[in-house]
Amino acid sequence: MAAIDSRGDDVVLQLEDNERSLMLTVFTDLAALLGESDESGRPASENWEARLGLVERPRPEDPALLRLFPDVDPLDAERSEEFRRLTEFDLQQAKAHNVRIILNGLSQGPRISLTEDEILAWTKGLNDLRLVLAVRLGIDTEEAQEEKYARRDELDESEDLTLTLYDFLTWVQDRLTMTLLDGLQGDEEE
Amino acid sequence: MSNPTTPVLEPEVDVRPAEDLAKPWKTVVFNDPVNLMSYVSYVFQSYFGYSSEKAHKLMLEVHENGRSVVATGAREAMERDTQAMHEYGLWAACRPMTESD
Repeated sequence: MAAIDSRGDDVVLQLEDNERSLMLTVFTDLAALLGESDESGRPASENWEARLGLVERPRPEDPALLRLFPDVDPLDAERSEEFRRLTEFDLQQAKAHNVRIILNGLSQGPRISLTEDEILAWTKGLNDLRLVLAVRLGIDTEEAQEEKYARRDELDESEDLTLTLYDFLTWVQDRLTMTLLDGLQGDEEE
Repeated sequence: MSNPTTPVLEPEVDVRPAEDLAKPWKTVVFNDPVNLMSYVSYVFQSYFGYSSEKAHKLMLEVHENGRSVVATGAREAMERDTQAMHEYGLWAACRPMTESD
């Protein structure tokens, strides 16, 4: 079972081998999903036209990608299109960067020591992955979520495994967020 | 010294109507079943610099009312805030204030 310990300024996340290899797999998948929106064949960081907002960025058709890259205002399609062209590149780079930090941490071994900046990257990346899994599971409202858990016995094996993974990631994200909140509390008291 | 035969590229300037600049805008955060209460509260404290009490109140508003206006101001600032919320993975939108706000 995974464990999280605070040691001074750093936090140590300890993972079982199966937990770590599963996380490596799903975060590698997330990295691929985030990379897919660049079709030029170049590394996304070298795509200057996109970086400068000179190319159109179509609204994602995959609902999971649309959840990661939402409209700036779902009530205003024209403004959302312009905003997406000007800002989506940076958002994609930021999300991909968080996933790289996580993959780098996971490759360290069973004991992963995290600085505060790394914990923030982990919580954001965990949140993004949970958003994608929730879309895949059809959890788009709190009612849908309750129903999914209430009917857990009826889920097929793959959906049940995804839900177990989702719960595990929720636990890790919540625990890491608590350490960030403790850090804020410390700042307030100083 | 400038050479008058050199072609000059005029920058394209997007002029927004004056009333657009004066009109206040808002950043709205919507509820979704994925975002953790602890995480949303953390984001409001760390990004906006709100106290833990105010962050907790706004987080509960999102959770119970389905949405909360977390910031108001000039359009550019609200767009920046909304982009930041999207980076955190919160479901947020930027739109003009209305009579009911």
